[in-house]
Amino acid sequence: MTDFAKLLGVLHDARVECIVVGGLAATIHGSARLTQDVDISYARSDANLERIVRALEPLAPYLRGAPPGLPFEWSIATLRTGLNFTLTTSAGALDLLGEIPGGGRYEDLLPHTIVVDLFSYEVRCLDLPTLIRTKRAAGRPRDLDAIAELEALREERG
Amino acid sequence: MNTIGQNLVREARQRAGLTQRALAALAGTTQSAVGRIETGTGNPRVETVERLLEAAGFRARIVLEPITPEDPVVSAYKRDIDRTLLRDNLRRTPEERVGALQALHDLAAEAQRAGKARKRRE
Repeated sequence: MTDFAKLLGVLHDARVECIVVGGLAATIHGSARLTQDVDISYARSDANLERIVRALEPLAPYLRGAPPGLPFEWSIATLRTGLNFTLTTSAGALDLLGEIPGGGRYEDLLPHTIVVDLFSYEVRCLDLPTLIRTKRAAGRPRDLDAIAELEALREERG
Repeated sequence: MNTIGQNLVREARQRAGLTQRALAALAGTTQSAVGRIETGTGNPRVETVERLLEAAGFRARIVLEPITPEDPVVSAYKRDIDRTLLRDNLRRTPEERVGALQALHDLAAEAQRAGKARKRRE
């Protein structure tokens, strides 16, 4: 089970530079679909990688779907050598995305974000047009229904 | 009919945590003028919208975006979307939307726990 408030809280408290994307961003915009995880685009600066490592360490992050016991070191070096990480934590599933199709990196997405108040935190979230654009760019058949819903949301918002 | 001014002014005011009256005072206008713009009954000049946005601490930037052609597959999916759920959600705050998602997660976890407990008993 994913504890959305807890995951957003630890990232916020550690001042991690990140943007909520994916299904949770869709929920924030009004989607009625269920999502299982928290997807974030994160800044790749060394200072931010350090914040991420420290923030998530108490939640025992591990590669989601990997066999138990596989050597995995949760460190800045590990984050530096990879880009996108699908993690399981004690607060639920968390995807760290260094780059997303159709949207690019954190710095590219930053001008296309809104800030919303969630659980007393200011949370930066991808705006609706960019969320639609990135879902389209991902080109996954399972996203077609989600794109349709997001487009309907955009129409309803006027 | 929605206008650009309506959406921008309302969003800027809400993000600044201002009432219509407070924004009007900051911009040197009246609450009713702000209200008219936000409800789309007025047709404000660009300068007026800019003044209100500035009073809320924002500046509007207009950019050109290519129009994405309608995808027939997505359009077919769109016909089946239950818009009543979306309208309900749009009446909620983002926090209420995520709270509802969390409640469904908690319910699913509880159902899973109950299912496992029942299996153990059998």
